[in-house]
Amino acid sequence: MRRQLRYFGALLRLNVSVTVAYRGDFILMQLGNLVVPLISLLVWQAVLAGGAALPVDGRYLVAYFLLVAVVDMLTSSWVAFYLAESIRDGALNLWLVRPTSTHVNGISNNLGEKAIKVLFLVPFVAVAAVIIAALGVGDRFSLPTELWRWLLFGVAVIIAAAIRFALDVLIGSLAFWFEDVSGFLRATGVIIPVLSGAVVPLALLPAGWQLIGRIQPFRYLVSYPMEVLLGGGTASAADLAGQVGWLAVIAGTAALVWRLGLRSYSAAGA
Amino acid sequence: MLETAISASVTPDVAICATALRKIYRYHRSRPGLAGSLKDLIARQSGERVAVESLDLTIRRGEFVGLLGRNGAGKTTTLKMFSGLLRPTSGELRVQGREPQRRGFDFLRRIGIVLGNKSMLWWDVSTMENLKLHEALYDLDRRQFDETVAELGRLLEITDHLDIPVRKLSLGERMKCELMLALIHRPEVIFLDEPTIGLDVVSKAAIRDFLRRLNAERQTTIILTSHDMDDIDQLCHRVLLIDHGRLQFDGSPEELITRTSPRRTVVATYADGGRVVTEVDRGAVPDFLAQLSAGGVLADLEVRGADLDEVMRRVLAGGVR
Repeated sequence: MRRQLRYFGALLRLNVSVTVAYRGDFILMQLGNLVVPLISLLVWQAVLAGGAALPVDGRYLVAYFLLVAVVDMLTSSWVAFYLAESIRDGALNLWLVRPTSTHVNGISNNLGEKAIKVLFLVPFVAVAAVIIAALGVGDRFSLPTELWRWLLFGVAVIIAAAIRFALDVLIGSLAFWFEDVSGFLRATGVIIPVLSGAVVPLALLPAGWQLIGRIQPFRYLVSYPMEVLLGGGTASAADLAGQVGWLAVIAGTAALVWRLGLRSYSAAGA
Repeated sequence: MLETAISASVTPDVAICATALRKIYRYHRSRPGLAGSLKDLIARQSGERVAVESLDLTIRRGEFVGLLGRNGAGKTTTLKMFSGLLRPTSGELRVQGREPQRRGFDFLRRIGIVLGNKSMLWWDVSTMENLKLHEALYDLDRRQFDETVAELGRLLEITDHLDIPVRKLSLGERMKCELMLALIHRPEVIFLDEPTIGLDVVSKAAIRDFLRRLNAERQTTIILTSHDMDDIDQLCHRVLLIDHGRLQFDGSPEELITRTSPRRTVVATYADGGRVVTEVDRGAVPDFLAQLSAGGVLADLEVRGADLDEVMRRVLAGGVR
């Protein structure tokens, strides 16, 4: 364990330095991540201004769409594609002959990149907030001041990131049995942002969909941490247990599928 | 616990021991055309391919062994089972007394692997950064790490290149760095898959020199697969020829040549311009040469044996008899 932690630390440092080397790409990427929520904000503000009765007010929408870019980034994972590719072309071999796991690399890459991305993204969000306030879009919003909210939010974001990573490992592992998993990746690329609340707050789902929105696992990826912080929605203490429960189910399934996959792995290529 | 028990029961000078080792791949057949794809969707046909039929062999510690065979003969599958990448379908396998398929730390820290067509190095950073990663990965002592870096850097003549990002290195320099990375934890067995592929003659010679010294000085067991017969001829004391998933030959490169090409070509040119070209059994060469010299004044005489390249061409075309 001590050895794996030492290796993880070294990998993390390496990932951070490689990410810094490609900072230009990452700056543009973060700017891009902010554009969609800002456009969504303008659309929903127009809906609100048009007199529509929404379950949330303008202040909530501004806070939600400004912060969702940060939460979505912090809980995101991109390992499924790379994992599937490495299984398909045999690059996984390079990890299997070393006394560690490809997932140690995946986690360090995930954390290393996020550490740098957040440094770029937060100033962009702050500038966007100032501009929105200056333009008078929506009502003035303020961030919560209760410490417990921020702490619970931090815990919810960490668990959400773990669920998302495990889900990605599960999807990527399908490459052990399927030649091409791009269909799965495309499907989840559409379904997860919608059902997680990254595109639209789940509170804005039609009334008939509210229950489905509440119990499905993707809610815990973005919407639940946002509900904890902003106080909207239906977040309760039981939800934290629900989030931990989904983490156990998804991580357990991912671990099982990964082990089964390795048994049938044919180590393509050299 | 189990690994300890196994290692205790293995003879100390045995590096690799395989008994009735077998590997069968299961795969899905794909039928051609759209109709075939639709049929596959409903009822997928699967098949089996025997990659390694039954392999029995023992490799002693410190041996330099060449694994030969045509593409698809089973040599890469064998190498993958030896290094723990593939689980044997049946049979017994121990490498340094451990079961490779378990991929335990105790096994993985004893092996090193170099794949000529796949890089183990991170290309965005220098070789030294890569080496430091492996220092942490194998939990190496700092002093031992520094000593090994200095020693390998000197032997491979690569010390000046350790701080250059890997993507800026030439192919020959990169292969030396790959070797360095694979050896930094001082493995007892190394698996080399086409380590000189694509290299120029100077780089090939440098890599071969290094491997020869590594084997002689550190007694590292080396298993080499290569399609470059010069690699095999110059480095390996023993060759294993695998064909159709079975061991077809086990002996020295010289024995392989003698067994597959028992005849030598004799070309005699006489002072009067006459020329004799004929093939003679190895054992009969001295008598034949005596007869030739009795036939006139010789201006030139050449006795040619098959080299490993010719032997392999012959073997791969018809098998070893």
